[in-house]
Amino acid sequence: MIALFRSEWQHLIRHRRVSLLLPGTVIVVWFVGLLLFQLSGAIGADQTGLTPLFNAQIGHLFATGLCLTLQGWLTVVTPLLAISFFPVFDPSPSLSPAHFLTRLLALWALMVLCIIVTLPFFSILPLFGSMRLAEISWALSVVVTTTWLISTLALAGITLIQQRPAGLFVTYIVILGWFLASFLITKTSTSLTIATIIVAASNPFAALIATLAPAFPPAGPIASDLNTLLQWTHGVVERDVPLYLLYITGSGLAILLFIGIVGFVSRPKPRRWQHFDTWWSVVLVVYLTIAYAMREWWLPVLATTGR
Amino acid sequence: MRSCRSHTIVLLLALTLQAMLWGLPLTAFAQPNISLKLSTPFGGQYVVRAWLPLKATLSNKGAATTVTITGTPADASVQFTRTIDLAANEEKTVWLYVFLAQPTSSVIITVIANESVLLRQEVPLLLRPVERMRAVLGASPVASDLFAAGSLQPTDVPDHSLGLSNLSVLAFFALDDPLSSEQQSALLEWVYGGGHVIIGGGPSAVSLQSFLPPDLRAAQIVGVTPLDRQPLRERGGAEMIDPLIGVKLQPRSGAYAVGDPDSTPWVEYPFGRGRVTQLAFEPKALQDWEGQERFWSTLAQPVVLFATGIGQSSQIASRQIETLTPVLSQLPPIDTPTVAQGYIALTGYALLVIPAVVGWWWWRRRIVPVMTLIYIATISTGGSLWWATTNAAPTHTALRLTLIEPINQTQARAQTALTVLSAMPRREVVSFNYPVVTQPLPINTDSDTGGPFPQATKTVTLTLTPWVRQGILATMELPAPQIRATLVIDQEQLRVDVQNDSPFTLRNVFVSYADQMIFFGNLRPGVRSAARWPVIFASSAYPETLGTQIVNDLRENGLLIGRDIKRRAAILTTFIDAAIAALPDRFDPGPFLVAWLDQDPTDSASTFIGQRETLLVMRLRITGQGRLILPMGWLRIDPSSQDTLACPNSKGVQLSGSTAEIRLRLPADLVSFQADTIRMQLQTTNQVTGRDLMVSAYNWQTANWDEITLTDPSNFSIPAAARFLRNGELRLRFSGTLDQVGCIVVVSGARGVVP
Repeated sequence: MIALFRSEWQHLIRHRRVSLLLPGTVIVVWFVGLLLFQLSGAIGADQTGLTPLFNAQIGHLFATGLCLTLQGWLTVVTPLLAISFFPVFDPSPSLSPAHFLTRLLALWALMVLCIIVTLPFFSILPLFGSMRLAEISWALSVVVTTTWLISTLALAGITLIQQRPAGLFVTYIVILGWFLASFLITKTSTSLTIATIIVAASNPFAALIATLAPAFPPAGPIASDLNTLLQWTHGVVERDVPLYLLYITGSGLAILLFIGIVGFVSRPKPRRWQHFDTWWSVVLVVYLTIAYAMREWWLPVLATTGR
Repeated sequence: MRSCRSHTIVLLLALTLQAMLWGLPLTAFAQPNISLKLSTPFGGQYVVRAWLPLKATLSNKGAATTVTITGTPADASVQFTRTIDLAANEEKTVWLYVFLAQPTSSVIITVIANESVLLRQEVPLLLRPVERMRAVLGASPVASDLFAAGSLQPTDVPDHSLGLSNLSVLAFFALDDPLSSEQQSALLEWVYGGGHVIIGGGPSAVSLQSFLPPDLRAAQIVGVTPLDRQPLRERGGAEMIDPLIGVKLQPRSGAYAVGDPDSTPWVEYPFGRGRVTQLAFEPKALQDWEGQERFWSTLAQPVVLFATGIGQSSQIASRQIETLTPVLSQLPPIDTPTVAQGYIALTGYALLVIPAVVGWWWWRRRIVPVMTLIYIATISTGGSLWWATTNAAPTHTALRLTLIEPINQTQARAQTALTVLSAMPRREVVSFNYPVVTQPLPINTDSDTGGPFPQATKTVTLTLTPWVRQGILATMELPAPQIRATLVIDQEQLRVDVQNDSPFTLRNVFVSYADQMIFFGNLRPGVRSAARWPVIFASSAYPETLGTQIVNDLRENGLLIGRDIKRRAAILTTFIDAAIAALPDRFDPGPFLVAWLDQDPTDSASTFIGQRETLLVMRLRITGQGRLILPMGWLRIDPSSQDTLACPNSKGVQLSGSTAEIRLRLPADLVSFQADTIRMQLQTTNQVTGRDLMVSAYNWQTANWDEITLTDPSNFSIPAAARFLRNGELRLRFSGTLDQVGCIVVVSGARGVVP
């Protein structure tokens, strides 16, 4: 399996798309950062004397903007990278679960590499005196989770459909539908229910904002922009609800289920019980057991309806 | 294969068991070896926006431990805590003070050790207005509930002035033991802040005086004498036939005798904003007199009484905080950090390094250089993180305003208002050089007033919620800075002497009396400065507070500079006004010394993010004897002693009807001043002539009103004025069509002698 992974990884990093993706990701993040600085500088000229901690407001704007950009950008490009594993026109042959898993791991590793090369931009966030390393780490954790989830979804979709253009199209449709549905349901919800929280938490952008939102400034010129953003991502859910805990927990389960389903469906027929299935079952049970044992970590998010 | 499956099952079972163990709550049981006895000295009676003193006796029958005693008003979340170390088999009595911001039915007291609640008791309370919160040590002289708490023992007197803040009057009629030094300091501070102490006379007068702080001795006892009963008749509204024998009182400097000075029944001595009333007679000597109830209720009145948001207060600290509150939210801005350098470096990284590395590798080997990219990104991240951390902007900003008021030569009171705004959750440890009692500031929102607010500690930890202004008010007692400031009678004029023997530099020293002030500049340690009080002052056309006058003076002379000048000026103005805390119906023009200290004696930390101001406000004594020419403006209208209303612009009084009476007063230290001539200037809204307005002065010798002949009402003199000025008080009566006069401003000066 290690040899298989090396093969898939070598295949991936020799792809021209990847050589464009990495500098492209860095340049996109740099460009957005530049825009944010210009924006905050234009506001800051008038506001520094009025707002006691305007530096921190700029820091929040910068952090939020960078995280959203990085996550949005990687969400868009991940399916494009996922198709690199498949032939252009021919239907892809049946795939063993181990083969699927190694492709997925290679894609995950590439996503992590994409995030690593953008880290210097995040490392200047402490300059503004508004972010703790814990908050930045949680935000990056959500970005990693999202890219892994999208990677799994894209790879699973294309593997199951076995046609590259069709798989890509369906993947984008599913992602778009998922995001739109969660945004619209959250925005239009008027009462705080468990369903509302689950829908909000299923939105990667809401989960990302939730890592930063508790420290959002309540007032000020930048605060109003951030609060508008919160209305779209959180709706009636309060800003200090740690949606990301539920999101990360749920994403882990979703990834496991995707792997299990695709590993079973895409394997050559006749489909029999394999070592992969045993290990997958063990990992699933362990995951569920840990999730249950650590329910104090993510379950209180659902209890916030009682506030 | 079977072995693999059994291992899997064992692993799953182990994990499930562990998960069940994680799910079980942990319970700890406290060891009940501590007992608590609680008492309230004033029978559970309290005043809203004042401190409730609770005496707690803790007994430890177990091993040595540290306990925290917490007081929380019912239906409130705020916690006032005190941590006590208890040795094995030790009993300790401590005071706990609970600030009651709202009416409440009880206070919950808990004793906590090792995060376990050991004891819980509820103390029922009874609301009472502050003007009726009088207490007496010894027997109450009346049968009614005039004294809310009677027959107190010396041990019932709290050891901190805040514990006395719900009293307006405290009478000492019997005292078996001397008060402890802490109690004496507390009493002194309480009187200075507006309290009224009445000290009994008669046979126990000498011992009573000796048991109380020397600074509160209003008079010296020089013998025994029959007393003047007229002041008692006036206040009691009843004839007093029997002679009244008491001690002969000789008022100290600044005190004045009521009634006949040779047989005065009591002496009044203003101390700070409060007063000491030293009786010459034994209180029970009046027990058969029919006017005694009315007499005591008239005599035992609060000196200071003003409305607060929810009731009334008799301690000026409430007004000081109320005045200061609007500026406590005006936190200093933090400069936005310079981002350009860092972003230029990131631009190089984004546009040159990464594209170049990836491009070169791709051109040479058709592969992405993963490890090289990770190294470059890691090194860049490390460098960037180091640069950002080194140049990071502060995460919070704070405003720390410390007011220091020397009470006597050795003791001072400090109040520190600290407001902090943080952009992220943090715990801020605030250190003080002296033990403090803390309370929430009115800027705190409901969700952040929980505290805890510790007492008798030098370290306070604030748990800061992002973007919520939070603050504490810390009150402490400290040694008075060695700064001597006096007004001396010298060559018929007043001379101001300021000697700075403290280790602090005094910045921008002002000495003021009402709207007149002298600027002394900066005084370094060891420096002495003197200046004569100018004879003529240009009075401002507008009623300006002392804070406004001082800050305007600093701005006009270029001593208040900076980019944030408007906010700083507002803070300094309000801070000075809060320190002076002038009440509209109270005569308290000073003289005051106002100066900034270059260091905060209450704080040892050298670095501080935000703005820190340490203001010293002290009252000056007037000393010396001999002839004296008092400049115009030193004999001023006493707003507390006339029935006229203040004018809309707060400058002068409004006369109405056909007759009106005003009283003019000298500062307390000049009560013995004997005037030869009094010069008066009257300014009225509408032009008046001598025919429109008749002026009479009260003749203390004949007890009649003598008409003053005047040709120009706006500027006239009263010759042979000794008969009109007594105990520093001049009474004037205006007759005529006063409704046409409008507002009247009276300023006076005098020429005479201080014996």
